[in-house]
Amino acid sequence: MIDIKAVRALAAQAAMSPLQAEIYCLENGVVPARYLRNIGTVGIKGQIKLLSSTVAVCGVGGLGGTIVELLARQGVGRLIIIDKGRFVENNLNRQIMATEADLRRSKVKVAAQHVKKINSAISVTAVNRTIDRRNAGTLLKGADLVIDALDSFATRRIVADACRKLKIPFIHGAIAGLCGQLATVFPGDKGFESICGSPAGSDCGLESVTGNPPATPAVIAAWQVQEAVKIITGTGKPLRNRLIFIDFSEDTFREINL
Amino acid sequence: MPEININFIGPWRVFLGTKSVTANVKGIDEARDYVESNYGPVYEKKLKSMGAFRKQSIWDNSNILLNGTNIATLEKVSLKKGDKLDVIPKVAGG
Repeated sequence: MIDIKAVRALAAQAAMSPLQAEIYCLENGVVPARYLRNIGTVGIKGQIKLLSSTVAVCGVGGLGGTIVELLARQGVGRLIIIDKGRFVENNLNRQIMATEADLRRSKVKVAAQHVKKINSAISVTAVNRTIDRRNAGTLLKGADLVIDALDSFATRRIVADACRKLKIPFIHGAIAGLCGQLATVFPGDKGFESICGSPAGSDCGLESVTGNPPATPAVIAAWQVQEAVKIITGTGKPLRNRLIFIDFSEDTFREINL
Repeated sequence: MPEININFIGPWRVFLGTKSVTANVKGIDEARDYVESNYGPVYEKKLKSMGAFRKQSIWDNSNILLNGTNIATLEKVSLKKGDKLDVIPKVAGG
């Protein structure tokens, strides 16, 4: 086991980045203490895969904030976080990155700074832009995995299309009130369109009426991160070709085949 | 006309004021009409009370399961006595 201070010293001595130093340690059977509680689940090889991976998170709101935080703590080596928004007061109830001091600040900039406080070894690309058909391919290129933390069907369709073209797995999550849903879509998987509805339909779901209380996004975001870790490390079985719909008001789970 | 059970899931139960209903319908289109005509006004009233004025379809804002299978994945949908339709809201919040 090696602590943060010693990893930094090694990185400086060997002219490596802290991330490279952590990977070097793991490759030689020495576990950075910060990942010690990960190893029993993902193994040393799994942790190396995580540190060597790039995950794009689309949206840094209720879902995205928690996703970014958990990915940083898990030790995903590079994060691309994309959101044009700035924090406003009605974000404070559920968006874990939002504080009173950060109101009116760029979500991605706040999130990137927060990540650095949690894990200075990992790199964050903060993209303060809205995803559209013209830029989606460019923004997501290089990601091993894309996590959907968006709040509109239209942008989800754009990101899903880009992932299909780039052959990147896509982990969908969405929330409304006391319910939420998630699914993992691999390139070539069918049926995701039925989740988003037709382009002519409404761009938002029932959340426009139910609102979003704080615990629902935390649960769905955590589950999305669990999917990401499984896919990157090759642990377990991803949630493919089905949508899980969770209703916390009655604690029921439904599987919708896609 | 077969008698089927239509179950409203999650927030629909709150908005429409019912969990489940039995309906006699010929087919899936008639089931849709049944839902929209019997519960559409309730939903519209709810939306208006919450300050939303745009009329929305319950059916179009839902994934519909027939005995657990998403009807969007079925080539042909036919109904028989005792079938169960789950009306699950589409959600998009992040």
